[in-house]
Amino acid sequence: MGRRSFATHTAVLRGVEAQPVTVEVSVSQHVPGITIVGMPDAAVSEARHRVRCACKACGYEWPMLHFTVNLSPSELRKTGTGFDLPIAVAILACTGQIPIDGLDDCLFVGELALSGEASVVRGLVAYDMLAQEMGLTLVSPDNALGAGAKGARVLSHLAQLRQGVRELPVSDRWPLPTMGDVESATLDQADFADVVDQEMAKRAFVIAAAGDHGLLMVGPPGAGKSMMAKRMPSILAPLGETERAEAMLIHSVAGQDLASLRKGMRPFRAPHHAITLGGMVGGGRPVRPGEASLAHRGVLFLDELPEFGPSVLQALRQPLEEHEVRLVRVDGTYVFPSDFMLVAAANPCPCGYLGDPDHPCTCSPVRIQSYQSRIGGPLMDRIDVLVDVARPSSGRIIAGERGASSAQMAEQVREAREFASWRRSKDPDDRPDRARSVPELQLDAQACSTLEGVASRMGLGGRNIVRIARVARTIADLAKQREVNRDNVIEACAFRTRATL
Amino acid sequence: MAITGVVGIAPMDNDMQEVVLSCEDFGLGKPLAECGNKQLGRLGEELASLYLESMGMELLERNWSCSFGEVDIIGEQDGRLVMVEVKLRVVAREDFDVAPELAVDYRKQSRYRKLALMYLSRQTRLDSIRFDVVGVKLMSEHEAQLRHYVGAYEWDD
Repeated sequence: MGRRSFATHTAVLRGVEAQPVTVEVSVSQHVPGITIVGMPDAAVSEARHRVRCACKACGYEWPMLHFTVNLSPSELRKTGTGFDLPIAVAILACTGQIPIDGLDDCLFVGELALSGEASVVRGLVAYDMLAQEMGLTLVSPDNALGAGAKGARVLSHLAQLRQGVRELPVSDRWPLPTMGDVESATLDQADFADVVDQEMAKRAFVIAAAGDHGLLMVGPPGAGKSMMAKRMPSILAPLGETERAEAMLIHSVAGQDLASLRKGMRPFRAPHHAITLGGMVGGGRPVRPGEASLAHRGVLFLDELPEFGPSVLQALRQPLEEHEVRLVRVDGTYVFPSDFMLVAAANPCPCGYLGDPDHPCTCSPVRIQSYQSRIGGPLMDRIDVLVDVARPSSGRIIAGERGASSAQMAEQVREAREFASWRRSKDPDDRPDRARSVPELQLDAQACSTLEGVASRMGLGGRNIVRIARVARTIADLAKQREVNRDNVIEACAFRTRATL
Repeated sequence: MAITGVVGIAPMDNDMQEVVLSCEDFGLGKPLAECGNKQLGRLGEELASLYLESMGMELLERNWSCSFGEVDIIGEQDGRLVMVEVKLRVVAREDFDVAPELAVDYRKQSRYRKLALMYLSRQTRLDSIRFDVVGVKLMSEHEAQLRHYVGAYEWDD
């Protein structure tokens, strides 16, 4: 017989963070059974049945004793099935059935099957970060990727603990992507070369990617809007090390696949327009990140933009402005990082053919008006680049022409971004272009007068003028000019207005 | 009453044993069909006691009761109190598929927990307890099948 009580380390997910929890087990004679206290939810309460069966299935003795399990700090609500393993370990250690050597230096997370097999719970990346912070070794079941944390130990079956926790195999931290990974990631991605006869739209994509501008495509069905949006990640730089860690954390907590992120590919999220508010910015109980956070450091593509619920689009305002989502719930505020590139697509009218030379539009002006007014306001403020996408010419498709490839476009984007950061570094204050006023964007005299002329002729408001200037700045960066010239401004204007409207 | 033969013990696993008992006559004095529930219940407890004693359990109480209800048998084994609930069903044939022990449901378990706490509070010698269930299938006036569940349930709360 072991000891009267024992404690193990584990953690609970709260938002995208893991918070430390201690599992204390105390044994007494008396009516046999398990009592769990410390605000467990239904899934945690069910742990006792899984733990009991798993221990018996592994050939451990299940003594006729009463176990009181306390999950401390008790005021924190405990959710999920990751508590199975730490509870089982504490009970087995308490009854002297496994060596207690080294158990105190470990953080246990895992769900147990009735057979004793351990299975992965979501949020392993968050648990790993916490374990490193606390100087503990993460002990968890191997996940599908075959990757755990650095120096973490892999426990796939409860019976393995008989030899002690020090005998468990050690796994490697998710390694940095190798050249091979990056190449295979590039191969996996769809290429812009497949998009025929859309050079204007591709130019818009390059500008948007180079200057972090939001992009809206307007065009009839079948023009290739979704096809191009899907190719956006292929012209963005691969994820940096910190960016990758941030994105992996969110995806892990949301229980999403990490394979493409590990290779450094940027996330691409394309939620259907029937998405709920909670699905977009995060929510539920326990609170989980939404699509806007899953698109962190990547692309959020909203196809059929006017079909999204107005409240859903409104909710995107905070992430667009502050690059994070803050959700206030009874138990406090949840903050999810949410810094994404917005790519949207819309039809020009409900039937989709407004402005199409080959196809008459059947919508009444009132319907067109109400359809177009659904997008607007705060969301349009973040969309700097607006591009008209016409249906590609049939002749060119049949001839099998190929346009600019992703590799060429990615190179342009990379050079422009390098130039822009060099240009900004010459300034006394190295602020992002988004935070700059028009004079700080370095327009030359001719460019200024052109912008003035356009603004007065089209009756542009202040906000629109700033947006044109910003896009012109990016176009100048693409040409590696320190000053924005007249041609840049004219090109920027072309990405502002719709000829057909 | 003298049990003439334990026909077979089939240890299913550590926690459960099955026995067939036979006897000249269980001493009911009348055909099964004419016996009342009370009489049959007492016979079940009788058979269970005989069996448990033969398994080396020391019997402390029969039909111990307090305000929460009644415990059929309280025994002691391996330095631990054992509270036994006996359930009996009359069956037509041996292979008739009924499990009397299934009648020990959640409510009964919760009552047994209270009884256990009560009994523990009235004595200081033992503080560890176990709940067993004995299911008795009565086939005829001289043959019965017993199923003994060791540690049949625990109490989680």
